Amino acid sequence: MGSRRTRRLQGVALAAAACLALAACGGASGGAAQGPTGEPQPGGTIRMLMNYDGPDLDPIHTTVAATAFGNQLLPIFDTLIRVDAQGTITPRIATAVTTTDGGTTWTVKLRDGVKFSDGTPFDAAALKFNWERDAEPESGQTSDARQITAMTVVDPTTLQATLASPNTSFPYLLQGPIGMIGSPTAIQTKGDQYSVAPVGAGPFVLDKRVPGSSYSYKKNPGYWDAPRPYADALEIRLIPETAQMASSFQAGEADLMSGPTGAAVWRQTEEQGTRVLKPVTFGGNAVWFNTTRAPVDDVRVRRALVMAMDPQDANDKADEGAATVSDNIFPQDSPYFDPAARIPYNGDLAQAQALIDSYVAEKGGPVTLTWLTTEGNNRRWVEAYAQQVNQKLENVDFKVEVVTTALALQSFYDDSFQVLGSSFIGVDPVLQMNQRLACGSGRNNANYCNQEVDAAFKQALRSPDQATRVDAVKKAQEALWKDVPFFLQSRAINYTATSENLGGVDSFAEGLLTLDSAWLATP
Amino acid sequence: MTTVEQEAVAAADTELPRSRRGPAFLVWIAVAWLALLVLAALFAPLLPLADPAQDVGGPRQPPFASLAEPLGTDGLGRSVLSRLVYGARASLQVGVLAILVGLLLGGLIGLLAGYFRKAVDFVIGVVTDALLAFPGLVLLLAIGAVLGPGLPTVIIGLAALSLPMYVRMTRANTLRFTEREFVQAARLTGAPASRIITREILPNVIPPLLAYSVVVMASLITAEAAISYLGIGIMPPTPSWGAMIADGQFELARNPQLVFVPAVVLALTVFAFSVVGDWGRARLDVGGAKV
Amino acid sequence: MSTPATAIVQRAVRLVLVILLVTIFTSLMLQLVPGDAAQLIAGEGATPEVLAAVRAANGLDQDVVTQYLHWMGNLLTGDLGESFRTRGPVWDAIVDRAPATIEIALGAIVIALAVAVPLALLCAYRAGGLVDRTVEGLTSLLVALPPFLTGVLLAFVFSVSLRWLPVTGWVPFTEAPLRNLSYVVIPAVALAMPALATFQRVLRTDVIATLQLDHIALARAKGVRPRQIMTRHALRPSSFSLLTVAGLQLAQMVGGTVVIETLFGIPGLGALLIQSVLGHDLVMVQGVVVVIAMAYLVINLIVDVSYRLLDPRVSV
Repeated sequence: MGSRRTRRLQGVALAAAACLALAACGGASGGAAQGPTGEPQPGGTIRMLMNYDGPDLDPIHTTVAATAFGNQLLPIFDTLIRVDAQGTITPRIATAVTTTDGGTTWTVKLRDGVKFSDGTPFDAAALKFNWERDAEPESGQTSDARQITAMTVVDPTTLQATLASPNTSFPYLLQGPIGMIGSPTAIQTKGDQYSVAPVGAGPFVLDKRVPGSSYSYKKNPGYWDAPRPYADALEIRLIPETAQMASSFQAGEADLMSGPTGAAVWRQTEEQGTRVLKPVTFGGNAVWFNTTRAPVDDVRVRRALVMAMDPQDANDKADEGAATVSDNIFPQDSPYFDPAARIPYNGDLAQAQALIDSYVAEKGGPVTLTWLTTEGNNRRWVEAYAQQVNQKLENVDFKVEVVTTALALQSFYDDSFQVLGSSFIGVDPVLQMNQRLACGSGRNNANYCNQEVDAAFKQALRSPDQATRVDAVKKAQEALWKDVPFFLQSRAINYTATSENLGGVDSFAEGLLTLDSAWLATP
Repeated sequence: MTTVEQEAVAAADTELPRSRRGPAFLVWIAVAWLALLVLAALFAPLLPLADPAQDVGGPRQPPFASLAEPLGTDGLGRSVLSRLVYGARASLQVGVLAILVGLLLGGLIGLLAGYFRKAVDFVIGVVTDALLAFPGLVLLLAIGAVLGPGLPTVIIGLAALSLPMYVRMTRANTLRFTEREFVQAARLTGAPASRIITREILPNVIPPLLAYSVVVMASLITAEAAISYLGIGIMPPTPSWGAMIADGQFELARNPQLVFVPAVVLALTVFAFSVVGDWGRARLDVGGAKV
Repeated sequence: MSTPATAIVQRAVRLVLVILLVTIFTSLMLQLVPGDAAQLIAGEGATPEVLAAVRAANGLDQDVVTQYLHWMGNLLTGDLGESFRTRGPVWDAIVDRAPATIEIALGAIVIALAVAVPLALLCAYRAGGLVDRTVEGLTSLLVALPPFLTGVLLAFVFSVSLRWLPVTGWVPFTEAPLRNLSYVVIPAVALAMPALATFQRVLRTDVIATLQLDHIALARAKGVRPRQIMTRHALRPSSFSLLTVAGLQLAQMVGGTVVIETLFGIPGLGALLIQSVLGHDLVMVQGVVVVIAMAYLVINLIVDVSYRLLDPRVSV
């Protein structure tokens, strides 16, 4: 267990956000080539490859975890702050985010003289405008933004926000979509077009976008963190197939590549001597049981299924053992890690069978259920786990069904699913756990409701210090793993590889990259 | 032709390399392979094969490493041999049935269009063009939405997609022969259309269709896996050759046998079909449209 | 019997009918496709209020008929409309991406023909012989390997190992012709493989049939050399099926290159079509479908005219 440090909520001016991010993330670099040393060189175009695309470039439409395509928005917007798992805040455009009343009222202090790339000032009024916009009905950030019930512009660089209820995890939101602030002038004048040609205060300005294919950015000469960005331009291309992406990278067609799947390819890349970042946050690729639908509404079935599962075996099958699996939702170096709070994998099969038999005796058998998945790497994981269950337990028919993303989404909306995956990751678990596991929450995929767990989460949200938070989460976990409303397929890692020619790139949050500091040794 | 020319033709005839039937044993091997496949697929549960869905020895066991699993295991530890045999069921059904529908139905429509021309041709042409311009993806998804996922949906969907191609091909070849004098002559003598079509046109139109069908069959078998992401096909762990080939792509660099074993089986089957088809064509000895 | 004028009118009527049929069908069918565009935009966990707002903002709350008539009205003025996903004109998106697909599709057909025609003639000449059987075996293998597989293999050999060609990327032909071609080669070859097999098989069968005709025997008797017999006398009349199939393949490739496009990171029409269908972007799908329909009709016209050229007895 890591040492429990007192959480620092005061903003502290610190140098080199990069080092902090690495320490917090717990993911080491490949150990091989570290990239160029010496002073950052200006100039050149950074070429990056990614797997997936987002709906567009407007943060109000970015509802999936930031890592999926957050790196496409980050160059345009930057974030207000960066925060690590220990709660240490690195100032970016905001220099301080503080509370004096235990998390109900927050004061955000902005840096002086920051301008959006269209020349208009990035002031508290702009911040207020954006947060009001985030709370509008068609925004995807309403659940985050609507916590804010009132805002006051104290002075041009200070905004005060009052929340509906105390939330000591508020700063974490500011390195996500609502921490990406756009120019009010641009938003108002561009209307519809804003989401494909946004204006922010980040290191780069969008030059051209071909949806589903490529993004080009140019250096923002008015960037607040001069002399950054070092590069003149940034190009992102999308190659969905990880093996192809890696081949392209190895052939020297890119300086940087990033993606969440294809662990075996990433391992191979690392073995070839390339530096690979593997940021690990809590949680991962979670798989949810719909606790309001038979047969997974019965805890016996849920426990029995999970007891028959073996993540390492699934890893061997689906990703040639290259992915990271765990029976604990927290990584070992996390302050919230509790060795007793295990997901009950690899349980006693006789006991598991007894649970099933008891269910069947009462409700009839066989126990039939379906796990929905999209095609691709994920399907292999699903097949592996289902195979284990079918082989180890009698009277259970665990089916697999391949569906389109649209259908999967719909089955979340109309609660027609029984077993379905949806990633559950973040830098701060308290925020996430509240969103995904609290009674009645919109994003509570499992429709899970346990008053005890709820109370523990609410307590954690109100806790001003680390110790109380950890205690609260520990209580929540005890109850949680009796119920098993979800399990962890594998850790969700946004792998990133950098070439020997590229320096200054590190990861923070769930896998966002410090592209502002990136530089090419030979531009 | 003049008498002189006729004599020259008769003399030259023997020198022109005629299409040979090839070594007979090749045809026998082809027939044997196909028979073996069909029988194995039909009687799979009775054969001493492992359960095609179960992990029988750990993932990615190489072929020839053990007696129990001569072809090794796949990424989920399942017997490749067993999955090939069970997979033949799905793949052969898809390949053969979809082709049959396309061939018979499409062929008939194409014949009518090419023979009767004018209004019939125009209407059929418009519908065929519309079907071809229509994004196949949408058609498959719509069929899938109505019928639900499963093998019949895939067969119907793929048959619907290949239908217009057969119509086109048959029409083209019918066109070519309808205008010939001998057909015109037959029409003039009052021979019924059905007789003209079956006697004169059909024998000339069928051979390229068969050759085409063999290739289309293979494409359909691989296509069945390619459309799996649409969620309308056969669901895992039910095996099919297309799915085995598609699955293996994830580890092509490290375990290429996972792709090549099913691919070679498919290739051999295609080869067998085409050898048999060729022999059939040579037997019928069509192609002599005497002027 | 049909004068050029009647023929043109016929073609025009045909064009209109086809476009009507296709677009109406697409509208209807897209309704059947499961999935909700608003959900896809809003993501997981959005409240009904959010979904309603998203629908209103993107014009997704109109019924099918209204949407269709509206779209048709725009089409008549030459406006293909705006996509709510890209927030830009459909026409622009198509023009941006069509060249890549056309290049690869045309390239694939040309390569396939260039290899298949001589191979078919060779095999038909000594049908049943060793060369014929070997080629038959090879084409069987070609057809059993899906294009993405050949693509990956080719990329591995020529891009990663030999470094002769790039792995992924794209630059428009107008910007840098040679580099553009270097990006086209592997995708075009990968796509050409199954087409090659089809062309070779079909042509071979027809040539074998043609070779049995008397006029071939006559030419032989006259002492015409085999090569000339094959290319001058046998090829032309045997090309009906080949022509049909080639036209079909080309037309199909326009919408069917998606796998190759996504594999090599090429911004083409295929990927656009698939993304739009799965994203329920009706306006974009309709636009692409109209363009594809026009392409079919053009290709059809060329093929029909070529029938005439190949065999003047055929009246079109």
